Amino acid sequence: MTEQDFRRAFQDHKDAVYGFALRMTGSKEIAEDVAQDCFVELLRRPDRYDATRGSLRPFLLGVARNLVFRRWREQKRLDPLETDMRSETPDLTAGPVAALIGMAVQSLPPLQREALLLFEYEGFTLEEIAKFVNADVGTVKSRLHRARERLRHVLAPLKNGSGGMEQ
Amino acid sequence: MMTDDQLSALLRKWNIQAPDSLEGRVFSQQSARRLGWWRFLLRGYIRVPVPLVCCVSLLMIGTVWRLSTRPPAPCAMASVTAVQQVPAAEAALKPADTCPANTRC
Repeated sequence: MTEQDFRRAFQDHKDAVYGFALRMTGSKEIAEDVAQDCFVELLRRPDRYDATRGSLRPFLLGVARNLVFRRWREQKRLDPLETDMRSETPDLTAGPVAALIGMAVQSLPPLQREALLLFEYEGFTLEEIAKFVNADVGTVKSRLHRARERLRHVLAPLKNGSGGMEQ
Repeated sequence: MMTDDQLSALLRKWNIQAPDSLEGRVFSQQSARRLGWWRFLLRGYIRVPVPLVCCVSLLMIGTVWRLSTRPPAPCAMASVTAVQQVPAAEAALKPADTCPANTRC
């Protein structure tokens, strides 16, 4: 990979990689670290990316996912992946809409959150998500369904025009 | 209840852009890599597995111990046997032609 290729890849994918890490972790510092490590990995070992297996973005997001999960493992936060890690409903009665949506997404269990982020923000299909997270399509569909159900419930105040939606 | 489309539209309001500092962090790493071996030789470090460090340490300790306890090399003079030792007075009296054949004495 030439320097020009790397610069182009960085410009094309930095927002997606950083955004994925931030939406997954909820921390700007961690997201920046993860995004940096992700691109440095591409710089150090460009041969790990095989263009015949897909485009660069899923590869970078896969590296970011591994880095996020590794951090969680190190912090021993990974136990309740499927179950509700934060069962309490976030307070969405005040604050900017983006921040409120962020809080709502953060309230999802990690695997549901991951499926939702890949579907809603990265435009992955169910099959692509299943391949990405190494799970069945049915499992992904179920995670996505549960994530949406929860968000519908949590974000209802915003839809009704109360709270942050008016800002 | 929100439809899937309404929920998607709402979620899209959470738009995120990478901070400018990320570019600086990534490309400083890249320029550091460009310096390559010189930088590595001056400022680099390597991770060494603990078992390897232990083995090398034991090997070095063993080598030093062996060298320190080895008996001194025998002196060339010590190899002369008692039979060959001749009192100086006798040697002086010995005629020159008594040397055994095929010797250089």
